This record gives sequence, structure tokens and C-alpha cells, in this order.
Amino acid sequence: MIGRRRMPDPARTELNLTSMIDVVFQLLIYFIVGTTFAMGEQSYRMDLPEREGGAEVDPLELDDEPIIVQVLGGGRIRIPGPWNAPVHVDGLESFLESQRSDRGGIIELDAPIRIKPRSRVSWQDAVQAFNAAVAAGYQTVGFDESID
Amino acid sequence: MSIASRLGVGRPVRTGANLTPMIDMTFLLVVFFILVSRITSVEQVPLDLPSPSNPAANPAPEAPRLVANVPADEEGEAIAVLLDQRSYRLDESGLDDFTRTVAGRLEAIPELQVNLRADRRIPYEIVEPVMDALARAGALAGRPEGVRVNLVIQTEERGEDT
Repeated sequence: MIGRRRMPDPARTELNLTSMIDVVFQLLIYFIVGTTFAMGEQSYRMDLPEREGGAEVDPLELDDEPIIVQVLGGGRIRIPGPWNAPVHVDGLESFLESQRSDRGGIIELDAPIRIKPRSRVSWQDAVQAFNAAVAAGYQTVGFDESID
Repeated sequence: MSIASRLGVGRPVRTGANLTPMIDMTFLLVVFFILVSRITSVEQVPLDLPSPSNPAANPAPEAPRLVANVPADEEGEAIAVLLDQRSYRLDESGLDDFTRTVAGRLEAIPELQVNLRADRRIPYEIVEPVMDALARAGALAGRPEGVRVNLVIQTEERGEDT
């Protein structure tokens, strides 16, 4: 029979994907190993003091007198005021906490606290004092101009 | 033609796993890691962050952020401010340039915050002008409440990874 001739199979085209998969896995491993995530980093909110040309100030509103924490370097601090303040940064957190108005002290929780380091004090020491004030529970902690 | 030959009995069987989903997933992973490594290389300049003992838990809220890096060289001296792969000198003109760039970004995205990553060894007299520049940028961008600046510190669980 002439009409029963078999049709040829449709051509089977297949890409060989093996080498591509190899390369893609190599890339994947490279990027997994090469990527570092910022684990263990934390960021603090900071309030910048008002500088010249900064925010408008309401002339009728009385500003709270800021609590100044002077950072002198080597862990030494000074807090001018009518109290027996610690001279080392280790005692800063417990002192500020004991002075909170809700713990029987005289400093309001939203009173501005200004960290005022000396100009050659390292950033580590400045942040240490800043951290102590934040850990004591105050809401408005910021940096001020350096002492000298 | 017999039934057996019509069913193809006796021919070698073609077995093969369908690799398409695996290739899809692998490509997605590759793209993810390429993008992440690009972002972290811009924002996470390797530097020695300050690590206060007993860090207070006061994390900044999630928001669009701009990361300003102040790295130090081997002697602990600051070199420049890095922002978006650009380096700004720490003198007056460099910081003016920095201020204008930050102000432009603040105008474009209203809720933008600035993360300040500074090396622990550099003195405060270097960081202070940078913070001043950020405050000026907030004023320049017309933000009455100022710009929100976050300090980035190192918590202890990371150890000597940096």
C-alpha cells in the first residue's frame, strides 16, 4: 500500500543543559560565600542639636535646660549641676536612671541630654556616653559641639 | 503490525528529570545574591564600629535610609566621608558638597533617614562636622523637624567578624 508510508518522527531537539547548570551553581556558590550581611549592627536614633539655620523656634516656648554630659576622654565624664555626679562613664547610666523624675529624681524623661565630648575624644568614648543616656531611658539624647 | 511493536516494547526507555524548576530557582538565587552583594558593598564599608558595653535596645524604625560612612586608615585617622560610592573630603568644600548631595536626596524622598557609620577610633572633632553637615542638609531640604540621623554601632554577638 502506497498510502501507509510512515511519517518521519518530529525532530527531537534538546539542549544540553549540564554545562550551564554547572556554571550557574559556581556563580551561586561564589555569591553566597562572598556576601556578608550586617549582622549584629544596630542603629540608634539621635537628635541633633539645633544649629544655626536649623529649625524655626517658637519664641513663646521655653526650652528645657539641657543636661550637659561632658566626655573628657579615658572614660572620665563631668555633669555640671546641683548633684553629686559620677566622674567615670561606668556610673553614668545608673546616675541618670536614679535622676529620672519617675524614679524620684529631678530630670524629666523628655529633658534634652547633650553629650559634649572633647574634640580629641574618640568616637567610641562619645558613643559610650550616648549609649548610657539612652539606656537610662531618656528620649531626647543628642550630641553637642565639642568642648574645645 | 503486532501490538507489542506498536507500543514500542523493547525500545530503550528515555528517562530524564525535568530540570526546569531547579534552574528557575537557581537563577533566582543567583540574582538575589548579586543584588545583595552590590547593595552591601556600597553601604557596608568595612570599618571598626563603636561597640558600647551593655548597648541599649533602641533600634531605629524601618524606613528608607541613606548610609554615610566615615572610615579610618590604619593609624585611626579619618580619610573621607563615603556616600553612595562617592567620597567627600573632610574639609569645608568637601563637606559643602556632601551637604548638597544629602539635601537633594532628602528632598527626593521625604521619609529618608541617615545612618551614620563612623570608625570607633576617629576623634569627635572629625565626626562633629559631618553631623553638622547632615543637620545643615536637613535645613537646606526644608525639613522643619530636621533630619533623622541614626548612629550605627556594633553589638557584641558579632564578635571579631568585622
